[in-house]
Amino acid sequence: MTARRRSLGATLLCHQWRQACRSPYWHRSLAVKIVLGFFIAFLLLNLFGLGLAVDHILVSAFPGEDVLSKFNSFLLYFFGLDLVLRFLLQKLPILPIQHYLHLPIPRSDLVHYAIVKSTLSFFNLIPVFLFYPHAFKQISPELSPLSAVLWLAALTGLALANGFLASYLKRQLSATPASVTIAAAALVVVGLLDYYEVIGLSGLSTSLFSRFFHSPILLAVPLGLLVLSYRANYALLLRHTYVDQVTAASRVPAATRADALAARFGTVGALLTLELRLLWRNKRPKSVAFMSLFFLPYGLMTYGGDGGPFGDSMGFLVGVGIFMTGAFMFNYGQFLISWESAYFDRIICANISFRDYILAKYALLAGGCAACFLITTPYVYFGVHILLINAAALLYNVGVNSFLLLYLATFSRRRIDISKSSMFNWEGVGPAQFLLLLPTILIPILIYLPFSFAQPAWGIGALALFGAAGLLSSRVWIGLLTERLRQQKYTMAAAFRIG
Amino acid sequence: MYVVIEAKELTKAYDEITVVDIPHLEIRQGESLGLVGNNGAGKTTLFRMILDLIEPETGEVLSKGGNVRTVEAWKWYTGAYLDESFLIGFLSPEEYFEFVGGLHDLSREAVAEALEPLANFFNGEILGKGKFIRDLSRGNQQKVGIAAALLAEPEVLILDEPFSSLDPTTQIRLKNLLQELRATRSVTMLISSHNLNHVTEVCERITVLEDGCIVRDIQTSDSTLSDLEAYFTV
Repeated sequence: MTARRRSLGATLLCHQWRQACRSPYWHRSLAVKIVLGFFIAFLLLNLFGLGLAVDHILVSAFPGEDVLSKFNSFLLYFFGLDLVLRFLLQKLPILPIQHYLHLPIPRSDLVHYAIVKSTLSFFNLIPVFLFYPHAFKQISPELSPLSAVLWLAALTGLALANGFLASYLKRQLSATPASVTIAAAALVVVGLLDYYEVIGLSGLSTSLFSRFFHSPILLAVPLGLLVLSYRANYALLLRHTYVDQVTAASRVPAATRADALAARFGTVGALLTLELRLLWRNKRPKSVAFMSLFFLPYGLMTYGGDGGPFGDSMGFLVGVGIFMTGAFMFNYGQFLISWESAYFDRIICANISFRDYILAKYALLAGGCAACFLITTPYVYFGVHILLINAAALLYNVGVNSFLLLYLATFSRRRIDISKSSMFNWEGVGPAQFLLLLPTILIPILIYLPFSFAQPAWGIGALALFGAAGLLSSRVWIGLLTERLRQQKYTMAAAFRIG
Repeated sequence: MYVVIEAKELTKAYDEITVVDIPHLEIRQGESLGLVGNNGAGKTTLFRMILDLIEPETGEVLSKGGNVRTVEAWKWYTGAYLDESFLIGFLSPEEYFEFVGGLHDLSREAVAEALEPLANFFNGEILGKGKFIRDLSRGNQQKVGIAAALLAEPEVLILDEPFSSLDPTTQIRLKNLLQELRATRSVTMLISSHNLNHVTEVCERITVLEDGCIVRDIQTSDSTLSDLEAYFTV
């Protein structure tokens, strides 16, 4: 039985590997993967270095305190953060189960495979690179090798259990969103209580994790948690392996306000309605649009001006302004046309003029920028200059950057599956996506700087002027973009069809 | 009757393998042309070039005398359905019809009116179900696509294998619908099919495509079906 099961696992792994490397994206996005690989290797190397040097850091940061206890005091925070990050970023153990359900493979084997495979995660490497050096360099000589091994075993078990817990919660989020919201709220409350020193998590953390040094029996706790979280995942997944649940149909919302828009503005209105529905009804565009909300608190971290690496440098604030007012545009706009790759044939052979198509996309980007600007107006609390900078940034985003993004969108050559989640989803990501962020933020700063040497207000004025000039000549840009799309449509449509 | 669609010296090659090579093809107003041929004969490629979805290697397609690549008037009088890439999965059928109808300046009421004669064809499985198109079965998706092509009373109708994945009842209803369109509105049709029975019943002219070339071009007669069957029996 075990031999057969192992061979099943190997076969499935092999299928998934083939699926990955036979996908048309594989070769095209190889460069992205290599860069990502280097990035991960770099991160792990840093973690390893941190694990080796952590005793020196702790000694100099907290002189006179016991290094091992101090290290342990951070562990509860580590696992809390780990859980949150895993919840946000870790992929769910999904398998294209439909292809296998009709074959003589026990359902339970498929589920076990999916869960076990989910342990091959970057997050499970973090404890290895961070804790193992600490255990062997500090714990083992100071206490005993046995203590180091016990402590490591406990932490490894907890890390794995954390991974399973995150998957479980993530899966429950779609089933019972309320319970997960409550759990998240509880986590925030505990964090706040600790921050205001109502409770002492670090003390608790020290006393909890220091016990693992000496008591082998206590290992039962992490092991129990591991088994429990595994079983919970297993039960949940097993219940959800029926084909009708894998592809659960969703119902159309009854009334939509968007219809009025279409009636009022003709073809452009119809296209905007379509775009808004695309945004609300599909997982990936929706989460990308939501992600732009996370750009908006960026001001909180930079304004207020008590130092920071850039302090109150106005040039930096211009960058922040561009970044925040363009939050939606930069996020959603990176796949501006690719979003519609599944039905691009429909778009180009329907009686939609390409000018209207470009206009609708432009209206969406401009509307997104305006909305982001409105949301960030409360930052006026930090000074009127912030509002002025952001208004100039808005003008520049609408007048220059939006056209730039539309131009870049005509380079898209990759089909996107809009029903997939967006976290760590590299589908459709190409060099254009990376190149895009540089000029959109750097150029406005470069425009601002020379003028600002005379007077910061001049720099802001220059930025606004560039935006206004772009806006006033929009007819020209839209004409050029229309022509560009007309030329590029065959190449784009062919690429979108291949998938 | 004047020529509606005309292909001149039309060729398309992928990796130096010619997939379409049509020196000349004319479709006259009101004519219904059936396109048959085995997989890979170049039917869909030809359709895509007629609809300006791919660039021809050489030659051009004229619609009412205008090159489809430069004169876009054909988009207003041509209804087409080739495959799922014409459907927008996250819309309900109603929303999709309103979108397509809206592009032809049809109000919501006008769209509903235009769909009335299709009630029989829909067989109660399309409208008012509260489902997104992506959640419909393949056959029902096909119905939505064909209906959208018919929506704005097109003068030219282009359908790629419209009978595939439809149930027998719906196939017969579609056949009747197309025959009626031909008789009452003299719609010009270009229809491909693997079903020799249906295509000979619906179309008055049959063109056989093989390796991208037109090898037969015949007016449908009583013997056409048996001729075609003989041709495809290898």
